[in-house]
Amino acid sequence: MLLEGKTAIVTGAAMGIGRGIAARFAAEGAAVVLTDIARDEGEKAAAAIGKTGARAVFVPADVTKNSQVQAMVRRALDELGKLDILVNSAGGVPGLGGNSIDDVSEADWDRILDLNLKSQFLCCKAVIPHMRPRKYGKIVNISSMGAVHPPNSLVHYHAAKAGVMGLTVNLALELARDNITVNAILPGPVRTPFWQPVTKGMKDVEAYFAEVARKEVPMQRIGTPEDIAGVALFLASDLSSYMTGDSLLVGGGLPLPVRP
Amino acid sequence: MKTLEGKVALVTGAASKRGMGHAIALRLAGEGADVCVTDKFAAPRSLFPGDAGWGGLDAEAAEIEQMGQKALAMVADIADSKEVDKLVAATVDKLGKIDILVHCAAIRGPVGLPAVELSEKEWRLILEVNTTGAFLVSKAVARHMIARGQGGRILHIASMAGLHGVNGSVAYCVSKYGVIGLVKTLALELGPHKINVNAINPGAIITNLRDETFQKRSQEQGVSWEEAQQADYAMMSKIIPLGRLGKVEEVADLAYFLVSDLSVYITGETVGIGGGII
Repeated sequence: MLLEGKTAIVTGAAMGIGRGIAARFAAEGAAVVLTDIARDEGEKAAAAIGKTGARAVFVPADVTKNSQVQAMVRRALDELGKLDILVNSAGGVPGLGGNSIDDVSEADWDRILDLNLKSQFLCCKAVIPHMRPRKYGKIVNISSMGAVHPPNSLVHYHAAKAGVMGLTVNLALELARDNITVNAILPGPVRTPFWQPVTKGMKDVEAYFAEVARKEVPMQRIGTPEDIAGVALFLASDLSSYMTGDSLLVGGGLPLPVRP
Repeated sequence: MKTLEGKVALVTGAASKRGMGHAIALRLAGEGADVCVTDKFAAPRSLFPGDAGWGGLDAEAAEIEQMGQKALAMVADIADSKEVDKLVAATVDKLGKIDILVHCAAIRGPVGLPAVELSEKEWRLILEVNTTGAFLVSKAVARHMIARGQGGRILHIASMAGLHGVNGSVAYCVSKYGVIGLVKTLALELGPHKINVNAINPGAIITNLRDETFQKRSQEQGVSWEEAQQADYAMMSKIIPLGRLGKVEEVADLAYFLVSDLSVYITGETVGIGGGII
């Protein structure tokens, strides 16, 4: 058990990668606050983890709003007593569609930057004052492989995720002497609800993913939330005590190009 | 159950007491793996006073057995394909298979010697050991892994010198760039066989690698070995965000991560460990 006695906040924990991370942390002995804007799914996720005997509490919050982030962190401290780990997993591109520069309005840009970048800034800002005095903290930010190797243009989302890498290295520098490490994960293709706008209306979704895996991924398979959760566990545990400011690419060999 | 129970690991460059290979071999054994440890010399010559009496590979095999795992100690020159093939065959023969390769064996070569002063002989030696050696060991182990059809994990110790130029270390730098090219190509070729291939790029880690430098400085400055070392570490710590050098045990934790199921969707990657130096 790598997180015995530790406490964690995982954002975007109702579904997908965040949910996988929350479950994995709980299985490794951590007490976890799951937060998300999706209440029903969030409650279900926390309840499912709770059934395994672990401590898991759902606290609803819109992490793009500072007042809600502050309230969520206060509640997490009440529930957990202290904060060792923050995983910033909330994000995505609701309404994924035309995403080139001509399609993205100023309002779209602001919305996606708020959801994917500002949210991480706000959550970091809220937890750091509670980590600093204890000289301990592990922050894991979920970026995207698209931040540095976009498979296609998603200009607002990928720019936001590149911003996450900037946030990560700067906070790492700032917090290193307080023994708070800050690292990022750049997932490649992972099967989550993120893909729903892409696969909507497709007759054979499995065939679609099999084709993507075969043509594009060196390891010939699409990732799972558990694949990312293993890496998040590493970065949230003391296995990574000498690593900070780093970005780990987790994409089954991507961005290496698959060629015959 | 331990997370590497039932696995067999081969760790090269493992004989130095304060080396990464030693720490990694013990870490993998601690997680339940049987381990073959290998090096060019059973007990490398050491200048460091604290190494007196260290029994090298045999002592390490005894440590692993003490932890309840099977161990094999093999002397092999990884730059010689015949010796590498023998090493792999012996590991498979004695321990049954190889699931994990951690290739640590390498040499540093001259430090602070301009490229225009480096001899061809020295250049060839460093590339032969560091790059050709990495190829030969990977090739022999990968052939075994492909034939077994059970996947596998290959991990190389490259260096941050494989990402940037390094003043006065041209051959070492080029050799580690080569290792990273090897890792990325093998990741592509071996991905369909479920064999992950990755590298660690250590930053400033406390090992025996710079013993000669400290010995020289202690003689020149009339100070003890410890004093020369501490002065150097204090200076380096100032430029490391975490404010200290890394420990071999911390590299071993990262190595464990990269050969364990935690990292099963990571391949073709170089992961740095430098306390914030990236």
